[in-house]
Amino acid sequence: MRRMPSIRIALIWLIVATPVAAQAENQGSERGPRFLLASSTTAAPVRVDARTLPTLGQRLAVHFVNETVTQALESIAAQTGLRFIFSRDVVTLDRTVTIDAADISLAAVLTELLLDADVDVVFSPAGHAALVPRRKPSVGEVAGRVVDAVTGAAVVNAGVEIIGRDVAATTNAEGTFRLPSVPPDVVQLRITALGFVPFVQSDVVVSTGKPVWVLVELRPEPVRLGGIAVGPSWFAAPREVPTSTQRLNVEEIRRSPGAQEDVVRAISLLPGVAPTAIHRNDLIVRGGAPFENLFIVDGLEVPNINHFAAQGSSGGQASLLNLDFLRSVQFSAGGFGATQGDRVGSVTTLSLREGITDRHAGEVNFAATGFGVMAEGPVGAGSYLVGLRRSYFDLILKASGEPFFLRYWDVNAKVSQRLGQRDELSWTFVGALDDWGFNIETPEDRYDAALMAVNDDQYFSGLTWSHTAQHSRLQLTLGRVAHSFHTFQNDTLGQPLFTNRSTEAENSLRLNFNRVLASGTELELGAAAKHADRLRYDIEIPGSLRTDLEGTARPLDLDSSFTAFRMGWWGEARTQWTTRFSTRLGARADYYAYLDDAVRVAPRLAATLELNGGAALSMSAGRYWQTPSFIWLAGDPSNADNLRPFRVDQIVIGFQKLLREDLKLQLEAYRKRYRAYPTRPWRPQAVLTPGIESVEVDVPFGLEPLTSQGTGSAAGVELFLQKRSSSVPVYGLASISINSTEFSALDGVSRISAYDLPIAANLAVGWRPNALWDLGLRFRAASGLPRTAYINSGPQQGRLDFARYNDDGRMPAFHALDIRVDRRWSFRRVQLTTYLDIQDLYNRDNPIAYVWDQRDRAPRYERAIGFLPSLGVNIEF
Amino acid sequence: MVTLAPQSQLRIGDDFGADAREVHLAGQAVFQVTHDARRPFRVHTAGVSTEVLGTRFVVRAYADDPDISVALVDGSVRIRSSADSDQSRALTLRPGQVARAVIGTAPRVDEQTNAAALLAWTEGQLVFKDTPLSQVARELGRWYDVDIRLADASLSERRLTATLGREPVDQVLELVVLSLDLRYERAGREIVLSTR
Repeated sequence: MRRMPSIRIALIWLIVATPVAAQAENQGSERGPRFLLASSTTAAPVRVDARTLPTLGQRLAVHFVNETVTQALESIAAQTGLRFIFSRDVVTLDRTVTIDAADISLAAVLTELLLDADVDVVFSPAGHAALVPRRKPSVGEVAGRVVDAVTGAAVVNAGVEIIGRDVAATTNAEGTFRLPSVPPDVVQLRITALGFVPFVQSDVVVSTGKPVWVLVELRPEPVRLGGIAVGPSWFAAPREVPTSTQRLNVEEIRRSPGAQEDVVRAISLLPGVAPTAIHRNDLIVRGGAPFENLFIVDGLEVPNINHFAAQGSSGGQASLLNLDFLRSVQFSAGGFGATQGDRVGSVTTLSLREGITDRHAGEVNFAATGFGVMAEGPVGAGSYLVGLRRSYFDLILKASGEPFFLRYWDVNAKVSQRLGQRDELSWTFVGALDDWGFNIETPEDRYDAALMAVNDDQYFSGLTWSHTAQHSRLQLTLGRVAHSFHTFQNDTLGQPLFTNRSTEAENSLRLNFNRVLASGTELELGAAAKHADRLRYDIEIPGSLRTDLEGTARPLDLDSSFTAFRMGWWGEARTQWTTRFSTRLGARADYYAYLDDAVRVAPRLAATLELNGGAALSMSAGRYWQTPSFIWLAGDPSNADNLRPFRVDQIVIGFQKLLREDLKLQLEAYRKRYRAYPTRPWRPQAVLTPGIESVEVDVPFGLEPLTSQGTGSAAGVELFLQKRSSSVPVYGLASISINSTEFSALDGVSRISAYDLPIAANLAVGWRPNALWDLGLRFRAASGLPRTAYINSGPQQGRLDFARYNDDGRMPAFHALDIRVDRRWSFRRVQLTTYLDIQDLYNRDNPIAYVWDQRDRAPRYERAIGFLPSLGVNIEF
Repeated sequence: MVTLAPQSQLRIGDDFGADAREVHLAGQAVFQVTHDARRPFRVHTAGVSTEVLGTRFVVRAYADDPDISVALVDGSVRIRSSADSDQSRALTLRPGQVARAVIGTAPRVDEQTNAAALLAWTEGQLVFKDTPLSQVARELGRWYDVDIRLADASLSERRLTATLGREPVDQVLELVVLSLDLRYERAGREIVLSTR
């Protein structure tokens, strides 16, 4: 469902006037003047000293007693024949000087005269000496805080340096540091502290606009590693993230060509991940359905973080989260620990950054997807950060004559307050209003608009209290997630065919406690309770579109509400047994009051063996449970009795090696076994999958009787190479993923899964030739997903033919090349970033769906946007 | 003997030498005049008339510049406003002094400026001392036969001190704009100074 319509017009979304670059100039912290020689009118003056410029070395006798600098210069001019050029309105020369020397070099006199005047002297071959105001170089500032990754406690006296520059600072008692006067660039910070593993934070964008704030979490050095030197790494240590976990920093996402600054789309470059279709951000992770993916924002589990969201699943049109607000993104494709539960596929952990605290700053952003404004600054004992965005989709769709438009607004906000040294309170709010509307002018438009659409509004809000002690941290998060959907489809006469008005809202309380034991073992314990206080469903489906196994009409006219309560408990111990061997042992239990008081227990373990030469072997194994989505429980009166949590048992084995400190190679193999997967008694060949385009081809997702009887398996191998930006200004990642996934539904026949993806490959490379430019390229290729045939005759014509479920060949292979060029412009107080992004450069125009065409009475491919250039500009001040 | 500066005109009347030596100047010139009590030497400009009593002096009175200067090197000159024929209100300069006047006003002695600065051009030099940029622009324009404009009127008061020679115009402008914290753009004869 929910396609992005075909737009074949190449649209330039925003024309940006080319500003004149104000280059960052040489740094000058000297008190005396610098001597420069202007040798030609085209090149900038070059710095010289007394040895290379004889004029400077000439000797003179001076006798200045309380003379002004101007008078002194006149006297020097008379002695040397030097002709000074200056403006008293530009340089300050009013102070008086007393210099008495019989034999002194010109360089020394000038240095003495012009000390602290912020003046440079430019000599010309003709004997001029121009006093030139030293331009305040366009500089930015890097500030931040270094904390213990386990306890959140401030790390005092940590060294923070910019790699390759002579700029360094140490953290104070609150763990904060400040590096003023950093020329605008993208830099790497190396952070070192006694008792902690050194760390390199790459891709810190220093701007002349607002200061950049960096929160660095240092991992304590395991006690048993005490003796051996641990070099700083651009990557998390293998023992921290044993398998299948990658961290992306925000810059890596922003510069990702074709990602539309959408964090979820950027994740799809990682190994084992693919989008279901190019126009959506529903992710297939290792053969799993999009509803198996978990998203956590600032400690809050959010079922769907997207605009135009698929109810009961995890994808949508674009993420609600403003990229400028993100601090870090961690994605785990499997093998994640016991602290994260209730999803079997993947976990994406997103942290919003805090606002800067030294001044108020703003940003205006015209991105590929929309425009936004944001503000941040100090408030109370902390900071605020707030931003508002509006999409362009409606304007673009309208301009291209499409019969419908998508428009959204969203707001992201975070307020943090430090309550003394140990306590911190932070509040995160993200909300969105989505509007799917129609511009119907002709019957043709009405025909094209007869597809499933969604108008949804949502917000989520989390209040977190964090208490830090010397060796422990306690975090309590109180949250609410609310999402209202109006999913509908009109017929070709514009009359409602299907409507689903639902509201799902849930409150949650999550408690998490970390402690580092004397032995160095790290313990994490937690509990969470969730109460869905508002689950309201008002759904109408005519019987002709909701037919059972025999083809009998089974209309749905639902107007009901219920509540749901669940709890979870977890514990995990991370132990470093020897210098090379570490384990992570954990378990969680989940209780579902609304599923007949079901309790499910999930043990999980992982181990890492570090080898010589930066290599490591890792494995993880565990059991994962997931509750049915609420919409499935509402979808038929029998479902509350028949549906139970479904299960995945999985094992992952991995090998990784640091080829260089900034280059990582990783090879992983996994196997997953699905049990109690939701199955469809009316379609015994199929397990439950989201994603139909029209209710005329199948029953809408989840709104039918379901049982928990499916089994399945997935296996695969992934190769991943990642290069971080360092002194070698090339970065990127390459991945090849091989997967095989199959399911058996109620008929017991094993079939390939709708998300079986035999091979997928991604290549993303970026090059930063200098501080001003970034060039990026992304190539994606993947096998086509399996197709299901359509019934081509009889009363059921145009509906999916489940006798040939996932057995009608595949969609054409997907491939696309995206490129992006970023240019940074630094002004004295403003930083401008402009970019050109071209999606699908060679206009492959990949099909996004295999649909039934009512007029042709035949299936055809629906296509999305092909070649699409866009320009964007981001202004920070 | 008369030395004319660039872009200057000296008109000598038909009756020159009859009972007075009278010349009309638009621009700038240095005069070296022999004293002759019967035939006084007078330099008329739009703003002032200078009567010479045997001397060397410079008169500057450009048509596009309301500021008129007379600098005396040696000897003695008397200066009066052209609008005022009363000799008793004339100003007598001592050597080294500079008189300034704006058209329509009585000339006054400018104690800040040395006569040598006004004569520097005769030695191939342009000398500015805390000179407003508007004037610097005019003089450089004449010197190099270019048209220098200020992008912003607020720049006209920015003062410059400089001694310039016969260097190429671009080389001079480069140093001048650096000292003034400005930049310039040149298209043929047109030069625009603007803030950086």
